[in-house]
Amino acid sequence: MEDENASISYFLGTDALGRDILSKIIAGARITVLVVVAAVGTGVIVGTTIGLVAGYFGGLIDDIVMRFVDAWNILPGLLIILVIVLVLEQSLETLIIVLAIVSWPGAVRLVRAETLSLKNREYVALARVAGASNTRIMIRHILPGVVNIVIVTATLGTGNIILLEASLSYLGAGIPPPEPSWGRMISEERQYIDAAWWTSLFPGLVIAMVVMSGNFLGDWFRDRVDPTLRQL
Amino acid sequence: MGQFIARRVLLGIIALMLAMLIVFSLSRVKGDPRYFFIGEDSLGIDPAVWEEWGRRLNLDKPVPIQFALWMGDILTGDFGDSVTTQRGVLEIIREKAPNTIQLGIIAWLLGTLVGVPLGVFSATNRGNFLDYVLRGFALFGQSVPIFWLALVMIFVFAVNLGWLPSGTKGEGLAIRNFVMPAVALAWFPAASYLRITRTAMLEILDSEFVKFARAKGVAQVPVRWKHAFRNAIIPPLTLSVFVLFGLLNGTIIIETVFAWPGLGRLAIDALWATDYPLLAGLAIIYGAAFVVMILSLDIVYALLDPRIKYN
Repeated sequence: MEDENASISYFLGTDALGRDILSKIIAGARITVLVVVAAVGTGVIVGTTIGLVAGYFGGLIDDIVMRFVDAWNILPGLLIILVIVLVLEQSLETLIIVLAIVSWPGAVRLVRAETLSLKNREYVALARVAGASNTRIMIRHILPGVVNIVIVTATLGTGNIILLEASLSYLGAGIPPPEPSWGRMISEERQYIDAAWWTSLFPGLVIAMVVMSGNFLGDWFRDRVDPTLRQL
Repeated sequence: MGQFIARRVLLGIIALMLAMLIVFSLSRVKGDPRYFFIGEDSLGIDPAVWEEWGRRLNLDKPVPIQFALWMGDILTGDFGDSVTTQRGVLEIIREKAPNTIQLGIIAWLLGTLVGVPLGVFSATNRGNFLDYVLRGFALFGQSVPIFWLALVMIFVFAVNLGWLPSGTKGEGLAIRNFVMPAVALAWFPAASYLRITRTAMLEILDSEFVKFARAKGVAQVPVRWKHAFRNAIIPPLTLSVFVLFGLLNGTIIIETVFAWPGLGRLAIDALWATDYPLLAGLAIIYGAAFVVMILSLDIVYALLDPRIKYN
């Protein structure tokens, strides 16, 4: 019954406890999507807000934010994450926080650069003449011009966040046990690799396919939103 | 140039302070930090020892002072003792570091020496079958989780074919033991180098001066390597920062898969044993190593491309 190879009733075989691999993969998809969307969403919203404020006001705020982001980018990411997991203990919330922390600096840099180029346009000056407040200009006039590129970049970055989540789960620092997780499936089944290779092969392939789909989606999105961004 | 380097050094110092601040604040967010330093027996502990720990961690002083004193300890090389082994953190790290450094350097060389030439090759053969194969490899290499790749390699080369050992390092520089961990670690960097070199080469090969060199009658090989490649080298070099970053993260995963006795494995063991001082020490040491690597890379970068402005 245990470690059964692929058959009509179990398309991808079963694991050491006789559980269907395909069902586990499908159940794992739900939790992965939840974690990644929540993390990237939080990261992007925080990053966009900070980038918008830094780019719009410039000066000292901008300097401080950018030095902070620069410094942040050369931190040993995965180790800091492990320290956070050690202290806060492994849970879905910790995982989402940790992945959001990874994804915010990119958004700051991007939004700030775009804001810098938009804030001196004439329509922004006209909005100011018409008496719009700073907040209104940022939200109604600059944000819509920035949002496309942010969504494209976030989509392109999703693949890496999924890989990071899988790696953390593999290391035992990601999605906590009762929930099914692709990364942990591979780590739990690796000891049976000589007898039942399918138990760790398929979850890995699924991760690779999802990451690839994320990249393709991002590329497609980029071409749709702004054809001038198309790379060779 | 001097000013440029000074600015980068300053950035490195800020980054290290930030790393220390994060690590320090984390030990204080969940109540009494003593639990992280004493370990499992902190519940039934002798009150005198408990007090003694309070004094050692300066808990009687305000938090900013605690941070300053702690930072002073770190800068003088006192990272405290590991909770599980009761040995000095720095001593443990010094013992394990060579294994990780050897693996990292070999993987980095492998990734660069495979990825960059293949990128050039892919660009100069644009559109033919091999180009598609290489692009497929690059796409796959950047999407596949490396721990899974490592497992597949173990399954094929260690379990089935029995050509290579499935783990641990052994004595000295036994090449056989290095093959699988290094290849698994170099996979992602090679794929990234391939993609970025290909894009850079295509752009340069399309430029006016390359067309002119061709029109002038320069042979194919010198056009590719002397005219095009020398100008296409900056994007892959810029990528090196991210590659090194990825390698440091990768060692943590790969060393766990191959039971490699290095710093990455140490970090995971520390996580499992909730050994806060050891993991915190590792984070700071990795941070310092990273700052040094980025600084040296910046200087190489500035020397190679005089067009870069230092402001």
